[in-house]
Amino acid sequence: MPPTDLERLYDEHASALFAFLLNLTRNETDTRDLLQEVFVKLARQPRLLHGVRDERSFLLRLAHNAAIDGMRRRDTRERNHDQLAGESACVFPPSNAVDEEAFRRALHDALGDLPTDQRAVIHLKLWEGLTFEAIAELLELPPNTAASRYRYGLDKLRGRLRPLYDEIK
Amino acid sequence: MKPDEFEQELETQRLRPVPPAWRAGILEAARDAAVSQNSHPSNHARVSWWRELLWPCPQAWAGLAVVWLLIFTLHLTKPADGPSFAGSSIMPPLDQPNQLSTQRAELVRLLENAPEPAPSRSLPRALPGPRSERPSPPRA
Repeated sequence: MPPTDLERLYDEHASALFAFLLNLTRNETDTRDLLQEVFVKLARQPRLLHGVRDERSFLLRLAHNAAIDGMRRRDTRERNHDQLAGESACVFPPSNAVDEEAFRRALHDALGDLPTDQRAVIHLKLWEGLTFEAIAELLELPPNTAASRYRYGLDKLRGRLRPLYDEIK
Repeated sequence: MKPDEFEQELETQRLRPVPPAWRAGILEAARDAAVSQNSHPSNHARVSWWRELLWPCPQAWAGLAVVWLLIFTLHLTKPADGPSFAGSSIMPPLDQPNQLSTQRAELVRLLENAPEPAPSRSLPRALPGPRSERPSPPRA
């Protein structure tokens, strides 16, 4: 793959991949490693993108697979140690408004309490705007499973955040 | 599914962008990986050719190769002047002209003294002839 193509892919999609990976891993170091893994794979196998209709979905799929493999590779003890030792990296940027910052912080924590598979669906639906069919294809799930994971996850978020949301509004 | 107000509020939350400092490092790592792969294409192709050849059980092929190497090594280390199977034939050596001529003369003498073979005679027929040629059995 020519370097210019790689740069274009990075400029167009790296932020989306970064947010998705950070939401899955909750760790900046892991996110950087996985993002690099995705682009190294693209550079080594330029034919991967041949015939791909939706680059973003394809790259999100690569990122998701890399994240799942990465999480499997990590030792459970090490993962628990990391989670206990360090604060998870926030998916949302800091805000100067106190209420907004409080809501973002609470949303970040509530997302972190969701199972990874529900979090992945929530992220792809809310912040990538994908349909359940597209999410199902990306995560290799039946569409009904994607929809039910979204509903379960959203209900949990609503239960956690509704009081704060009502108070702010 | 129509999103409710809460969903819409979530959708409007901005996500953190990728740190700008990562760009150069990640792209450089990707380029280096591609260059290092392209600099050894023959090795890569050779390895995949061997892998394909030895599929599905490389261990078995490796074991066979080891056995062949062992045999070859033993063959090389064996002394050259040692006894060989080819040299231990039970046939008499053919490089003795005197003995050969003696055997030939003896054979000629035996053939000259041998009696003429008797003319072949037809053997009595053991099997019965056709039914029409057989004597009819006495009727009771």
